[in-house]
Amino acid sequence: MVICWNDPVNYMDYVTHVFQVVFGWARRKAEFHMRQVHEQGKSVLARESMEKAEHYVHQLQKYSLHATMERDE
Amino acid sequence: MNLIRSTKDQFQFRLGGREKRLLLDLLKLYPCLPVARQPLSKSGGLPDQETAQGLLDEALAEQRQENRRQLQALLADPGRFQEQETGWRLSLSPADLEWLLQILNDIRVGSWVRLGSPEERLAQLDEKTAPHYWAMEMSGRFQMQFLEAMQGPN
Repeated sequence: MVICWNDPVNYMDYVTHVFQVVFGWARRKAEFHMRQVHEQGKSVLARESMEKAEHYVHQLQKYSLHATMERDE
Repeated sequence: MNLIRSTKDQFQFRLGGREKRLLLDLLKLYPCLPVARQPLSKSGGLPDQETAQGLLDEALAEQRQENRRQLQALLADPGRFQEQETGWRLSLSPADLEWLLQILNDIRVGSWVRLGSPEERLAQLDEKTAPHYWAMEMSGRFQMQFLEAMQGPN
């Protein structure tokens, strides 16, 4: 799973924008996940193969977002 | 800084002389974020995690080197800022703008880390923390202006 974690420094608009760019999501879906990060502390952004998840984590970290990949238990 | 014109290929901003200096001084702070801050996984337990972490670190380091090279080229490009009667005109492609957002956020988050990653706004600044606070706030301000320009009128 690709997870984005909350932090107090990234602007909400910026996070929404990054989700749109990295995943190609519409603004509404990107905002939904941004709100989940903000309100629940994290959001699962994708469930993918190891290789694809690594790619997404790299893309998100390029934008300095706090993103990691975790095992889907 | 104001957006004065945008087409699908180019954004043009007007900046005062002080704003231009401020933006250039800010960009010179890149890279700000420590590479070691970015773990691939929190809980661990991924297959071959050490190798994967190594590859991620390597990719981010390469990216950072490329960004530094690109930033130096941008700062040295005389056509990028054109002097006008009322200040300066900055021209950027959509790709430049997207890339500058990453650079500015590295400076913003990196400055925040150097402040000790505070959860709340700092109550007091001193001569050690003030420069990092300034960089964090200013990079955020430019970021938001670039984002507004990219999103256009809603």
